[in-house]
Amino acid sequence: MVIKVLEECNITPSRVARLREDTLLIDLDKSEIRDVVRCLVLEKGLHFATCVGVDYSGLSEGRLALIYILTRPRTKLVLRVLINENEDAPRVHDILPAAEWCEYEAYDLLGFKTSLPISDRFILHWGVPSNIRPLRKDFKHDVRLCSLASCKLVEKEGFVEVDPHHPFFYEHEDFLVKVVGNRIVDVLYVGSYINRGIEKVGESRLKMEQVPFIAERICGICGFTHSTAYCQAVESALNIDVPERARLERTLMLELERIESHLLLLALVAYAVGLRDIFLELLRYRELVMNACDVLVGNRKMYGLNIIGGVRYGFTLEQVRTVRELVEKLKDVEKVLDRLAESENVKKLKEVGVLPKDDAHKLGAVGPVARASGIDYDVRRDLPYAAYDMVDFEVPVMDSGDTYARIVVRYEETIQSIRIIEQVLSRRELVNGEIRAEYYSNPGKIGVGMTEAPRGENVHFIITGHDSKLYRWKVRAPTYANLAVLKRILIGESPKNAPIIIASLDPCLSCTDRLVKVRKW
Amino acid sequence: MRGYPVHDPEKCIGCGACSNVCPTDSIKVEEREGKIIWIHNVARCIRCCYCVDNCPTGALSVGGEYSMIANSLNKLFIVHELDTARCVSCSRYVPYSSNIVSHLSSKVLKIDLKCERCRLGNVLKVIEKVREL
Ligand code: SF4
Ligand code: SF4
Repeated sequence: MVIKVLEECNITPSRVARLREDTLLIDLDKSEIRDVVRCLVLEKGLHFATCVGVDYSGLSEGRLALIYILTRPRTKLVLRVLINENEDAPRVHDILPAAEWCEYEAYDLLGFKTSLPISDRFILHWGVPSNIRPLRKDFKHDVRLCSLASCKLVEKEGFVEVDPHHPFFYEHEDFLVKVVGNRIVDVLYVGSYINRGIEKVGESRLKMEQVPFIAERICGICGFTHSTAYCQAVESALNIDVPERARLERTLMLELERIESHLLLLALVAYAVGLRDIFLELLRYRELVMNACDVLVGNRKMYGLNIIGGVRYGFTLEQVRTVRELVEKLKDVEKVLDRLAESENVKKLKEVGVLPKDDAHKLGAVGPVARASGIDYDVRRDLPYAAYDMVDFEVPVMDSGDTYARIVVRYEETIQSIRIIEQVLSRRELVNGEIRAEYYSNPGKIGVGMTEAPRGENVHFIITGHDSKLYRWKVRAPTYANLAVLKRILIGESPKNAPIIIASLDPCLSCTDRLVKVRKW
Repeated sequence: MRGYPVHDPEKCIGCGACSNVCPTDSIKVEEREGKIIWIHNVARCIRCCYCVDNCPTGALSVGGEYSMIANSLNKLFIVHELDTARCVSCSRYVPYSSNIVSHLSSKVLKIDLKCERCRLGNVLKVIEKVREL
């Protein structure tokens, strides 16, 4: 049967050697093999199993062979193509794609002469010199490929995209990390995907007193600091004295928000380094802060408390008492944070993504990023606003400037924030007195409002216009300043650390791009 | 939990203060075919409740529902129709809701509400009389 099939493919029975009952060996010439394979596999329907490269030099003089194995029921066909050292290798993979891998493998490991570009290296690393062909009989089995002097590993260049496709990031950003081998050589940040012109809305459609609600929605995590900075800008432009009670209330909410933001970041760091238990515990403590906000203003986020000249609601004694209980429970978070900072997984982030002090200053880093690099600057202390001049707190500063320092600075700030909250809650003025000052709008006045957002210094600049509207409103969110350090801290690092280094900046891209669009309906 | 504002059409006088202060333009107060229509687009509302602060009659209050689940877009709109008052002499509609009229007449003084045309007619009559004299 099979003989007949072979005859139809121009192979006379005399050329067929029977190795066993079911195994036939056929020696073919290089010029024949393509036609035979085409005929047997593509026309007669035999199954192509694989191909094998063989160095025959140990058995007969200086010859190489490529053996193709085909099968059909109860028959194995071994087609052998013997060639000389300097002949071109046989090739069938262009007519039979199934043969591609096994041919390339044979070319690579045995060093067949070919004119194909990929055949140079397919199995071995592309840096292994071309005279190394491990399956040749004259190659010793105990030689380490890369201990040879001639072995030079070429490092390939490529891009790693750290963007919403990356499991760690979900915002609209694109960090294109260029790598050579296992080293980052360049970073390109592509952002502003969600710039929808909140400033324009504030300048054109909204009245000055409506803007705080929209300003609060610049960021989903630290919104209150934006509305505070905006109100402060207007208050400084129009010379409004904010009553003490309103300032204390703002301080309280700002610090609750800072704890909430820092705990979220620290929880995410714990998640990223594989400490899921700490992640869950931190989020549980964060829930206490959210509940406190709910008790005070009726919302877990987006407090809607700020209004130009003060705040909308006065806190009552009862609310303050409930919050005090919650804060008492929150104090235990220190133990969890200790565990996070002491864990080996986080400690190995030391010396990773280092930002030296000079560079931090030159690149204009702000907030915890700058303080982790030894820059002792905190808007709360240096340009006091709200009620920060009435409370006592420390500004944690670290010198090493690495990812670990950026995490620890946030941890210490959380503890300080709890201290501030306790002091504010114990003040009598928090529940007595005026909450709002009257004001009159004047066109053409300039005001700058600054706050220390959880991520750093936050700047709002305004010029008042006619009809109690704004003439110009500019927002500089902290991440806007901090993204400048990306190149400095990422270049030279391993790409596997890139997500955690970027996360240690705590980037908030909505703030940076200033989302919100108000359209007519 | 601060939810979206709840509107009480019995108290509302259709003054439009809520629509003016709303930062996201969620509330519209329109006059249409003899009715004043108060529309709230809950999908746009950011639950700031600034409208509640500014309603002069307490027709708005902070609701407890935060999320609004609807299976069609139309259900995201809360629409209330308020009757407008009629002119006492010609019974045409005047652009004030009947609530504001009853509100004012109960509090301040009895007013006879006339539409613009009737008022203008009165003035013209007076002018004519003056001319005749
Ligand atoms: S709660 Fe705020 S956004 Fe919603 S309708 Fe009232 S003012 Fe507008
Ligand atoms: S709800 Fe209040 S503010 Fe709005 S139209 Fe009615 S009365 Fe005026």
